[in-house]
Formats: sequence, structure tokens, C-alpha cells
Amino acid sequence: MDILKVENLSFSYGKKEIIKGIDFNISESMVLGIIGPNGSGKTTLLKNLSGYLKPSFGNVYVLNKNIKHLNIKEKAKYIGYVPQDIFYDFDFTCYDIVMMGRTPYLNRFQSEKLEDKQIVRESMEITNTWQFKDKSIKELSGGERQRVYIARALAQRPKIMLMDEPVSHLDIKYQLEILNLIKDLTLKGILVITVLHDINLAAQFCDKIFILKDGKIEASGKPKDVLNVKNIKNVFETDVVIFEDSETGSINIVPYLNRREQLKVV
Amino acid sequence: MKIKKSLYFTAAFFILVFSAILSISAGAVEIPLQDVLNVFLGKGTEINKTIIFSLRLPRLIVSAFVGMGLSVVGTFFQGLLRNPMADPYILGVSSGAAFGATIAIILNLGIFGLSFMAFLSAILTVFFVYTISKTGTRVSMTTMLLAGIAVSAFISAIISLMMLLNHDQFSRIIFWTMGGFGLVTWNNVYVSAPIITVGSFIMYLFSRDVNAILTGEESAEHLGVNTEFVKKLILAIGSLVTALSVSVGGIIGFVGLIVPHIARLIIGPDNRYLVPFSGILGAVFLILADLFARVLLKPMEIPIGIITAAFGGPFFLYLLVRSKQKSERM
Amino acid sequence: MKRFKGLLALFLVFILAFSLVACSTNTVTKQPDNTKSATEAVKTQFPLKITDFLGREVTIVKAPQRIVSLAPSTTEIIYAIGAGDKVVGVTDYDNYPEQVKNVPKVGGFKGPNVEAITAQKPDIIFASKLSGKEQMEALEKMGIPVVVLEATNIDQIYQSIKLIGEITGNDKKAEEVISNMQNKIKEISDKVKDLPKVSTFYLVSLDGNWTAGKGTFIDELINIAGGKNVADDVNGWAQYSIEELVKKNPDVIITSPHAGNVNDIKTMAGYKETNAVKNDKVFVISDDNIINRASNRIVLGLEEIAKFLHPEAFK
Repeated sequence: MDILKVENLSFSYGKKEIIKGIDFNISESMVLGIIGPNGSGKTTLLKNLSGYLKPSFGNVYVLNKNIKHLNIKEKAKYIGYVPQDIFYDFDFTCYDIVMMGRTPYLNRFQSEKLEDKQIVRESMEITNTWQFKDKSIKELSGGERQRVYIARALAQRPKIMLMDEPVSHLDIKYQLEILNLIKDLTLKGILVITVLHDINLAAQFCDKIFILKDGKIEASGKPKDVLNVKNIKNVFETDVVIFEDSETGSINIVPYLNRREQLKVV
Repeated sequence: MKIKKSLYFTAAFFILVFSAILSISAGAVEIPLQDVLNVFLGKGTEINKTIIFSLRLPRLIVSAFVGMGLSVVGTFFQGLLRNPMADPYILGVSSGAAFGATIAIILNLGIFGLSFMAFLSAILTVFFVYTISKTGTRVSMTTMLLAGIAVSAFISAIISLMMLLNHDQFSRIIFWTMGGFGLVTWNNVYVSAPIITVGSFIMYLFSRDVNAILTGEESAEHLGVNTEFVKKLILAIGSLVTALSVSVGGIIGFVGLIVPHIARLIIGPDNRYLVPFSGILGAVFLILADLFARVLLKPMEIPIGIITAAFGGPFFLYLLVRSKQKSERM
Repeated sequence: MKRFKGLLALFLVFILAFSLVACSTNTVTKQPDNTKSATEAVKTQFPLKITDFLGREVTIVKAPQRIVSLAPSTTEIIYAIGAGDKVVGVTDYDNYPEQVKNVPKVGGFKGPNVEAITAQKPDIIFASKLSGKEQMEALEKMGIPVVVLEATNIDQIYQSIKLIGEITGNDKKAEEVISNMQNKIKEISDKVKDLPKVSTFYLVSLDGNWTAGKGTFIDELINIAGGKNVADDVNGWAQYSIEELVKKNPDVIITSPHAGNVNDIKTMAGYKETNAVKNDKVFVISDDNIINRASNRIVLGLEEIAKFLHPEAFK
């Protein structure tokens, strides 16, 4: 059974068509990266996948269920979402924040059960945030905060985690930390779909990449296959040089600084 | 941690009871404590009985409930709008109520007519603000806030015009807006207490949802919170409670704005504790404010809005400065 | 220092609160410094130097022919002493006598309109303390004399009448008016002076429970009419505690047509326990203006109140 299946998805804001017919399906847990220039529809696509936006046309199926027919609470049991910015100017403790992730399982009149508390603890331990549980979210660094939000989404016990540029505003140390964490999540059977701004990070951490251009998937596949000079030139309108590290097999994409130089490309 | 919270609640509750007792025993007319007790035991004089049962008691109850209602609504609105400057009146309730009251005063509709018009007009105004702010099924809180400001400004201009053309009623209108519980009777209690209580309780059920909404409406929706429904419900019930409060006590400022902040500084941002704590503090605040309004320059009555501003503002400043000092030391 | 800031803020707000309250009470006005008594008749000589109620010395060159009156009470007096034909400008508030309907309005809610006033080419302006200072100064700079009147008791009304009489050259008529007033007042007070004082409460407005305390015309009228104003423990216009009202238990309640619905008063908690309501002695004055305005019609107000308080004496 496909974890996620997207059928002929289109979305328009008013008269403007942002997503123009996207089809794909994912059957195993992995880190799927969505990259593309600004305005290509990455965030819009993500919000259509989460069900926050209703497609103008087409369907999204999670574990064979059409998300159109799921109510908000049920959707939240399948899909977790970590947005770019979360308002945090209040003194909630990190524990309280992660416990919010249990909302889809809690009835209005219920208080948290032992199971909920265990799941919160587990989520915080996976994300290495349990030591912050009594600290106010305001007191954390950017990277620590981001881990707490991921813990919160994890507490929803989702099948799919959607992330919108989770590391764009972080220091490199935290970027690597979070991306490693994300990769570990797939070991738990979670499909992670993340929009990334940095192509190199995408190249390093994603199992599969979609390159989005003008609301369509221009290319999809393994990073090595998809991130080539031709595609990047086509989508980002930039000339680049791609280096491959023979030891790790990872690739590094560098924009051309001097056009007149003719360098050998891999 | 949990122990600390229940301590605060217990303290607040005792302060509430103490304030109530103080409020019953003090007033423009001096009634010694023994005589107050006698009234409750059935052996008081006719005058004292009238004063305590017909005048002070309903006033105490209404001011407590209005204080609770305004604080609870203020807490929720501040949460929904993620704006610490929000108060129950921002969506146009106060100017709407003033408009209705002005018409009632000009047409000399009597006390009941005044309360009714104020209430009706307040509700209609909020409904109007809501209708022009919503896009499809969603409503943006920011848009509502701005629309509320615009509508309030417009209505204020109309009210000024009406006062101009009916200058005989000018002072009556002005003093209604300043607020006060001087003419509160048991009828007001029967109408306002149950509605404010039920309204506050219903809103309280959504505390967890509003906690999530505080981290962002989109975030909340992704967590499984039906954000649009919660917003509309809180706006509707909150406006109802506020409109009722205004129709019975005039426009009393600062309670809905400052009490939630004070409560938050003491008990934290979790609405499940914050809301009831705000409610208790709000009741205490208005009971005491009403007491001062009656007693400070007796037998003259000071409009309660002046008291809430005079005491609320500086006390809040003090708390802010103290919390700033605390964070600076960290 | 930080703690001090909080206390300072509290202190300042306290001051503000109390000054707002103080503004609602009447302050005592200065008496004009006229050495002539109110009953002496003197023929006016122009140019005339007078001292108005603010203690200002004003010179009036000749008998005014075009008068602007910025206070309804003054307007009434001017007509009463026979100088009404010279009135060329009044305010929006003016409604007595009938003739003022046709007189151009030169001032209203926001105070006098300097342009409208000058358009009438007045040669004198009778103002009150509420007429804006800047506007009055502007008019004086144009050479128009401004005389400020502000009577807060009956004696001062006599003085206003005398002054206006002097200024308009209608001294004799002014004397007559004053005389009539004094006679009428004596007549009324003679009828009631041996009768027991009736405790009275005057309700200005039910919203906010406003009453007229010590120092108001109403207070004075109640006293002359053989009553005791139960609210004379407050000064000026004030919101009165219903508790205190219950304790004082007035025998008569007098209210105005604008105070609110009389039925509300009769059924209101606190009110309904008073002797006044129980004995159906809640009266409505026919017109606020005969008890609020510092004019000769105050006598009518006095008469009405006296009849409410001591109906037996007026059969």
C-alpha cells in the first residue's frame, strides 16, 4: 500500500494556478526533498498534502484514505506538519508544547493519560529535548526550539511528517543536527517530506528529490540522478559545477563564478 | 510545580471571599459588622435590610460576575489574537453598546430599555464587523481587529453627532459610558449571572485549543484543532458575555486588558489554569473597584471606569517592572 | 528608583482621578464688586465702567443697540427687562421667550462661533464662564466689549439683572423685575416659614443617580420653599449613593422631565422604600429651565417646588 498517493493535484489561489497537475506516489518511508526556485509552489504543495489547503482538482491519499474525507482531528493522526516559523513569545514549557501534539487523541473533557505522557517523553528523547521539558520555550536557542517542534509533530504519531524549510534559519551545526534527526525518523517508518532551500543539504540528506518548477514536478529521483547541471540550469537558471566526493559519494553543487572558465564537470 | 499552582488558586479564592465580605459590610452608609450579621440572621432594621439585600448584595454579585466575564473574555481574545493589547472591546462591542445606549437615553426608554438597546446594538455591531471581515469560511483575526477599530471610530463619530443634536442628554450619555453599578438590581443578577457563567464555562472547554492556536493558527490546525470553529465560537460567546456586561455596567475599561496579564505573570500561559485564575482575579478587582467607587468620596459615587484605570494601570506597571527586573537578573 | 517610578505613576493617576471628580462640583464664583445695592435705581450714564462677574472692568461707550447673548439665562433677563428688541444673536440652547426662535444662532454645543457673532455686528456681548476664553479675547480685540455673567445663587441673579439693566439703559425696568421677584419670593417664603421642613431629594438623572447638592440653585430653592435637601452633604452636581438615599429617606422626590422614566424611579430598589415613593410624592418639574437657569423665571421654579413640598399652604 502506498503511504502517500497524489493524483492529478491542482491548486489555484483565486485565478492564479499555482500547482498544475502533480502525480506521484511513495510506498516506503524515506526523506523526500522538494526543491525549486521561489514561487514554484513548494509551500503550496506541502499545504495541499497536509490538507490545510483544499485542492482545486485532484486527490491526496494517505494509506489509501482520501484526506478530503478525513476530519481535522483524524488528519492530524496521520500527518504532522512543522512550519517554518512558530510564534513563541509566551512561557509555555517545552513539555506543554510537545503535549499539544497529543491534541488529536484527546477529547475535550479528557486530561492527559499515561500513554500520552509516555509518547511525549519518547518524542522528546528521540529529539534530544527531554532535558528542556520544564524550561520555557522562550529560553531555547533556534536549533533547540526546532527540535521541540519536531518532537511535537512526532507526538502526533504521524505516518507522514511535512516540514517547510526546517533548517533555513539555523546555524550549520543545528542544520546538520536536525537533518540527521529527520533521517533517523525514517527508520521509524515515517515518510518525511521536506521543502529545502539549500540544494546541497538536499543532496546530502534526501533519499529522493522532486525539483519543482512553475507548479509542476520538473524532475524526480535520487539526488545524484536529478541534481545535474542541465536540470539546475533549466529550473534555477544558474550555471553550476558539481563535485563528487569519491569517498562518501556525496555531491557538492557550486555555482559558476566565472563563466569564461571551462572546467571539467562530472 | 502543580502544588504551587493550587496554592495560588487557594490564595485567590480566599481573597475573593474576603473582598466579598468587605464589600457587603462597607458602603456610603456606615453599618457596623454586628448589624450586618444581624441582617443575615434576620434581625436587622428595615433600612439596613434594604441597603444590604436590595442594594449591596446584587451589586456585589453583578460586579463579581462582570469582572469574571470581562477577564475571561480578555484572556481568550488575547490568546486568539496573539496580541497582549487585546481586550474584550476591540471588536466594536463598546462603541456598539454606547450607540444603543445613546439612542435609548435620547428616546427616554427607561432602564430596561437602556440595557436592552446597549446589548442588542453591541451584538449587531460585532456581527457586522465579523461579516465584513470574513473571506469565505475563514476569518482573519487581524482583519477583524482592524475592522473593529474602523467601525468603532465611525460609530463614535455618529454618537458625537447625536449628542450634539441632543445636548440635553449629553451628560447622561457620557456618564453611562464611564460605567458603574449604581443602579444594579436583582433583575440584573438573574439575567447576567447565569449567562456569564455558562458563557465562560463553554469558552473554558476550549482552553486547550486556544493554547495550540497561540503557537499559530496554521500550526494549530495541523495539530487537529478546528481553528475556524474555535475562533468563531469564542468570538460569538465572548462578544455575548461582553455585551451583557456592558449593558449592565457601562463601559468598564482595563479589567479585560490588565487582569489576564496579571494572572499570566502569576500562573503562566496555559489557558486551562489561566482562564479560571483570571476569572477569580477579575471578580476580586471589580468587587474592590466598586467598593472604592462607593466609599472613597461618599456619599458621592465615582464612575467605576476611573477607579479601574487609576488602580489597574499603575499596579500593572509595577508588575511589569518587577518581572523585567527578574528577567534582567537571569 | 524603579519602585519609585511605580509609586509616582500611582500618585499621578490618583491626582488625575480626584481632579476629574472635583471638576464636577461647582466652584464658588467671585462676586462683582458693585457698591450700589440691588434696590437703588440709578439712571445710567454713558460711557459706563462696570465690573463683571469675573472681576473684569469693562467700558461700555454707549447704550448697546445690537446685543449678542451667549447664555440662555442672560437672554431671558434681557427680554424680561424690555431690551429684547436689541438682541441680534443667541445660542442653540436658547428657547425662551418665543421671540428667540427668530434670532440668528451664533453659538452652540462647541461654544460661540466668532465668525457668526461678528457677522451680526454686535456692540456688546454677554458671555458666561463657559464661553471660550480665546473666542472672547478675539472679540474684544475687535473692539466689542464682553461682559461675563455667572450667577450661582438668587442674590447673584439680582445682580445680573441690575447689571444688564444698567448696561442697556433699562435700569428702571430692571428694578421692577427685581422687585417683583423679591416680592414673590417673600410671599412664598412667608407661606412656608412656619411649616416643618420637608426632606427632599432632587433627582437630576436616574442613570448615575445624579442629584443637585449644596451650592446649586436647586438646593437654594428647596431651602426657600420650606424643604431640606437631603443631598446637601455633597457639593454641586454629584452621583449620590442610593444607600445614603435609603438612610435619609426623603419625604418628597422631585425630578425633571429628562431624568428618566418616572416609573423606573417608583419601582427601583432603594427608591421604592423611601417615604416619597410610598406616599406617592414623586413630582416632576414642568421645565428644567425654571430651576437651572439664572434668570427671573427662577421664581416660577421656586413656586412649583414650594407647591410640591407644602401643597396645603397654596390652596
